[in-house]
This record gives sequence, structure tokens and C-alpha cells, in this order.
Amino acid sequence: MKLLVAVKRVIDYNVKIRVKADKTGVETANVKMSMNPFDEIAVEEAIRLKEAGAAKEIVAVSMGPQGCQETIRTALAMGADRGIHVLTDIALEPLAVAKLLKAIIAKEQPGLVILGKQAIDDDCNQTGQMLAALMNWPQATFASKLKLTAETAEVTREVDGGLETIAIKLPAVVTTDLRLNEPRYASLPNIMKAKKKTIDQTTPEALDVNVQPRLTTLQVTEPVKRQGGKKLGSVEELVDKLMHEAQVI
Amino acid sequence: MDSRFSEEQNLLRDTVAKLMAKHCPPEFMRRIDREQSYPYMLYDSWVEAGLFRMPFAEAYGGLGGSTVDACIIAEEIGRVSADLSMMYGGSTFCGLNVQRKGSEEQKAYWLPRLMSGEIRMSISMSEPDAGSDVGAIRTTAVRDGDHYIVNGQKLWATGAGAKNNVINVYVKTDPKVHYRQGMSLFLVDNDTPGIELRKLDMLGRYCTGTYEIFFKDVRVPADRLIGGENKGWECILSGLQVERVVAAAADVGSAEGCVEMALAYAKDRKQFGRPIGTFQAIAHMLADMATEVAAARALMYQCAAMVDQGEDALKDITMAKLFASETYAKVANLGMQIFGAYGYNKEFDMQRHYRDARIATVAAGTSQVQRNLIAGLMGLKAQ
Repeated sequence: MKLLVAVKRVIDYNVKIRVKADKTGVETANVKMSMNPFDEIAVEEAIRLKEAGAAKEIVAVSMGPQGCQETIRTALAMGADRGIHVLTDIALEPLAVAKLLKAIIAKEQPGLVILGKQAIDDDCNQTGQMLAALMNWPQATFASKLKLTAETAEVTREVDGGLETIAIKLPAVVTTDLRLNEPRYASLPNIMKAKKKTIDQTTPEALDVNVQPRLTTLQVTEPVKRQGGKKLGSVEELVDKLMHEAQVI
Repeated sequence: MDSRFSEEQNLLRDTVAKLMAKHCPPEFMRRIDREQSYPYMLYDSWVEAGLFRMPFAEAYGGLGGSTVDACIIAEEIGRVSADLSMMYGGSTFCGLNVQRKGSEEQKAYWLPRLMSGEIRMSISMSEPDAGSDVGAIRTTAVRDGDHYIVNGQKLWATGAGAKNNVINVYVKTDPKVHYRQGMSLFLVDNDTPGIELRKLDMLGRYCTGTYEIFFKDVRVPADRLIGGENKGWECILSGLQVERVVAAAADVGSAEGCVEMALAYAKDRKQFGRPIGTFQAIAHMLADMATEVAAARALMYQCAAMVDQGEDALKDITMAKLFASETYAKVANLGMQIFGAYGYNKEFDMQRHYRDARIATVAAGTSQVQRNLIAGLMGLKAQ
């Protein structure tokens, strides 16, 4: 079985995000970029499936500017077999990504697509679901456990009430939650091997997908800074303040 | 990101940084420094990730990495601890010597064992009366059938006492010829009968450890002679460029570690109602520190690239080692000043850098020896 894994290039989770001075977005110049952590989990799961003999080939896909090649290279160094880069400078929205993935799926015919449940930059949590809908495939989101047979996947999902285990027919879309696995870091032999693996480059035009944004960002601002709290002397004082200052009781 | 590095090199840096963050977090580093213990598990994690395979030729099971690759590894280890970078340097430099100067049989025997972590290696050159003046060593090896008998005393042997360590020791095999000509390199297991190791009470580098070694009628098989009898000086010279530039990389990494630590502290520590880093006195100190470290780093990577191109970079590399080690010592000292009394407290990490940095301008060639060499290469040879 062939596995398709989507990997997004995002600002590294250790970086303190700063809003641009003109409030049009967040500062990305000279900022460390990394693979979206949920996508790292997706790559790791694909590698484990391959190591367990449940999959034969892993294809890592990323979309965006030239720098995405580095994110794909990271996936290759972890253990993915080859990469596909959809080159575009347009900021892609989840629906555009899902449509591009659909076009790639038509060419690659994977048995399973694994994505992170969301990206840590825009936190949309939409691409996997949209892709499943576009493909009319079963989906299992927020996976914390994944078992494959020849025709089905048994997926344990993290839902509000606890854990839900479902069986879905393949091909399908699975999105990963935090507890699915702990991603490995690329070993040095794999980094050297990754040099020789291929990354095919294509464009939205070549895939015949319109990726023009449908949303317009009006303004991006910093969250309101927390004001310092007050220490009160007694319960009476607290009740008084809640009644008269905050006026909540 | 930095355009000097390839995608793979950025990945390499990232992997080593993650490896260090996972297997050597700050509290662990503090503990092994306090306990003065050798972190065997950390070394094993380096082996597992393939760090020791990087610089060696693929023919022997290595990964065929470049000098720049080795510098990236040393820089990232050094960022956490200059002490730990000695562990990496010891095995790597000694192994590269075997790769350059050993026979095919010796390479096939030693290199896979080194890369798999079965053994580690450390270098031993200095003696009580032979420091910068290496040729003045007096430890001898005398041929006896298919063995050599080694007698003498070695000093400042970094990492010699770690388990499964093979000491790469330079000895005199011909005391009659001109003093550098009669030296030879032997590989000696540190548990060979007749060897006595004593861990020395040094100011820093607690984990790798610094040892005094006594050799009393130590029998070493003749096939452990590397590069041929009386060819020791050639062995030393053959590795000098790579070793110095990688050592400079570790110093640069450690210096960067100091600046990062001092910067974080200056942003966090408040006095007179504001972070101390917003006072110009401290801000300029940090700006100077960062600038000098950036300069040391640029020179170091330029030299590493020259070595990879096969250029003779001895003068530049000597400058890189001199500047990197002095910069490390300088920023560690300034870091202590920024940390104030906290820096002087052993619960904080700056004092560890301060102690480890102090030896950087002495070990692997003192700053004075480096200046002599640079001046010599500028045509200013002493009469």
C-alpha cells in the first residue's frame, strides 16, 4: 500500500510569534521554520506502518514557497521515500490544499492519506475533513491509535467524551492527534540518504486547481495583554468587588 | 535560514540539537557536572544517531560527511557543553588519524568498532615536562618481539579513563634522533596491565575527565602502531587542520550557548523596575558578545569549507582556533558579569561555561603557540 502524508511548513513551535508592524500578518522573515508538529506525527505513523510491513511506499507532500522543500527533506530524512512539492507563493487556505491533495491523489492512488489534525499556525483543523468530503472517502480524525488490515483501518479517536474506536474502509483519510506516537528525529545515515531521494515539483496550474484565497484578512493584532491581578483581604471585599466593580453578581 | 548550509546540513544541525535536548537537558547536564560523571548513555545516543559515522569514509561504514558537517555537530554539542564536545572530538579525531595513517587491516579493525560504540578513543600527548613542546616527551616504547614495551608518564589526558577507551598515545621509539623525529603513535586499551590511571582534580571538564597515566612495562602488540615507527609527528600534522577547525567549532558553539544564556537572563532579570538588558551598559555588552561570536563563527566555517576544498588553510585555521577559544573565554567572563551573583552560584549554568572556557585558550595549542604559528606563517619566524 502507498501512503500519502501531507506536511506543512510552519513557524517553529519554539518561536515567539510577532505581529508585523503594519498588522497584515505575522512576521516570518528570519524566523525559524519547521514541520508542523502534527504532521511530524503523521510522518512517524507512516514510517511505523511501513516498518511493520503494512505499507510499501511513503510519499510526502508539501505546498507553498520554495522553502517547503526543506520540510519535505525533513520527512525524507525521517524515512519517507519521495516527495512532491506544489510550488506557489499564494497563501493557501484549507480548501485549496484539499483540492490540490485531491489532484495528487488522482495521480498517486494512495491507499491511505495521513495528515496532522491541524497546523499550529492557523489552527484551522479543516483540511483532512475537506479532503475526505471531496474524495467521498471515509475519515477518521484525531487518531490516537491506528491499525491497518488489507482493506480497513481501525482507528481510535480522541473525542470530547473520551476515546472512540471506529473501523473504516480504505482508501481513507486519517488525521493525527498528539498521542498517536512520539516522532523520531532524523538519524545521520537517513539524512545522508535523503540527499539522494527525489522531490518532484509541480504547480497549482499544472494540477488545474484554482487556489485564489476566498478570505480577506482585514487585520492581525496581538492578543490583549493580561492586566495584573489584585490581592484582596477578605471574602467580604471580594463579594463587594464582584457586586459593585465587576457587576457580575 | 543561513544560505551557507545545505538542506541536509540544516537537518543535521536540527537532529543534533534535538538529540542534545532530549538526552542532555539542562538539569541532566547540571547533574553530571556536579557528580563529575561520564554520560555513557548520552554517548550511546550519539552512536545510535550515527554521529560517529559522519566524518568517516563510506568504505569503512562511515557516512562520508564533510569537515563542515563535523563542525556542525561539534558546534551543537558545544552549545550545550564544551566538556561534552571533548567526548565527541576525542573519538572522532583519533579515528580520523587511523583512517589517514593506518594500514587497511588497522582501518578495518578499528573504525567499525569506534563507529559502533564498542570502543571510544582519547588522545594522550602531554607529559609533565612536555606541553607545548611536544617533542620533549620521554615516555618510551621499545620493541620486544611482536610487542612494544611502553614505560613513562602522561599528563592531561582528556577522557582517558572512560570505559572501553583506547588511548591514542604518542611515545618515543627513537630517543637518539632529533626530538620530533623519534615519535610514534600507539593504540593502547586503557585497561592493559601495567597502566595506572588517576583522574585529576581540574577546574572544569568534569564529565569527560582529565587523567594522569602511568605506563609500567605495558606490553602493546606491534600491530597497534599507527603510521609506522618514528612517524608520530607526521600523524600529528596530518590531522592538525581538521582537528583545529572542529575544536574551533565547539568553542564557537559554547560561546553561542553563553550568549543565549546571558541574553535570556538579561531579558528576564528585572532591577530598578525594568529588565537589565534594557540598560545600555548590559545591552552593549550583549551586542559586542554576539558580534564577536558571529565573527568567530564566520571565520570557522570559512576555514572548514577551505579544508573541504582541499586548500591549505593552516594559517586561517590557526586564526580560527585562536579567535574562537579567546571569544569563548571572553563571552563566558562577560556572561558571569551579566548574571551577577547568580552567575557565581553553582546552581546556575554560567559558571560551568566560565570554568570550561578557561581551558579553551590552553588546550590543543595555547593561544601563544597559535600566535607563534600565525606570525611564523606571516614570515615572522623567531631567529
